[in-house]
Amino acid sequence: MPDWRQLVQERLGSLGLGAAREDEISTELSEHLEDAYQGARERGLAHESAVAWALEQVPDWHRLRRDLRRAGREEDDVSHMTRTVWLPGVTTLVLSALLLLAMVRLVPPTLWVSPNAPTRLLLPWLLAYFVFGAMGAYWSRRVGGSVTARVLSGTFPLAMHVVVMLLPVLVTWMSATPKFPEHLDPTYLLRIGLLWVLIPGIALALGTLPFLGKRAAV
Amino acid sequence: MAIRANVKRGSAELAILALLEGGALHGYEIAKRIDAESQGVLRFNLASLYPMLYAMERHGWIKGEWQVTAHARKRRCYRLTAAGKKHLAPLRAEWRLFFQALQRLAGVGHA
Repeated sequence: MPDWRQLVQERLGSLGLGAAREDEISTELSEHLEDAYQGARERGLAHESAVAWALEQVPDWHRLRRDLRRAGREEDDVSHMTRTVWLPGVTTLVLSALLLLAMVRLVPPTLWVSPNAPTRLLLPWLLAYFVFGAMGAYWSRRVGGSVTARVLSGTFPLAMHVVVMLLPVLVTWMSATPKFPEHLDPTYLLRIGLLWVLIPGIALALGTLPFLGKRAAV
Repeated sequence: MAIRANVKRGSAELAILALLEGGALHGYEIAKRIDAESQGVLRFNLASLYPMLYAMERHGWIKGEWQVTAHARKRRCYRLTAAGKKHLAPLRAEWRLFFQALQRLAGVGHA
């Protein structure tokens, strides 16, 4: 009877998965080959035919080696994460940043403080965020993202909002003579948190909702 | 073809998870049982089975544990995890929908 373990180790070579894991894989695969051999013998095959039968379990050792390496590494998860969270998420973030930049550059200063500001600025802004949230979640779903990945992709611009909110707080807190001490006022923080994080966050999250129900296509 | 590959992979995933729902099995038993219970329609050899088992284990859907048999042979038996059970339910529903759609479209269904 062949030394299946040696045969497996010779044909697979190093998988780059660490000695302990590779040892486990060799043991498991050689046991499988042994079972296949024994099964063939029990069905009445001669030794040579049974060995050939067992070896037919692996039509292409190079391919098996490649598949085992792929299955055993985290790279797939990383690329999956990139595809389903990072790409759609960063795109929604860039779009929302561009929108804010455009608003700051293009909207006349008088409009920001006019009584019409909530309807002429806030509503279109939130509507755009709803669309960005929907876009992020839809993109993530299309590429097989889980529900969590879709929510993360859609609400990704919140990361920018949180950073923009916390940065002045941190600078003020670290400064010996703060220029804007109100940044540390809890009421101010609550108000900014509500307007700058919670409300746009809700708009983004609402946008993701239509794309959370169904699983990614088979 | 991408769709065929995806369907094949998806069906294999469902077959393994559904089989392990009945209890822990080692790799060779999984291949044999799938072959027998699908009447030879679904077949796994070593090369197609283990990369899939390892990937499923990495996803946390199954868990392999070493056992030593009465004949002093080491076996890695796989069992379905709680995450695997959770994954199996929508997978089943998805495949049911898939077959219902095929039935409507092409008359492919139960004999």
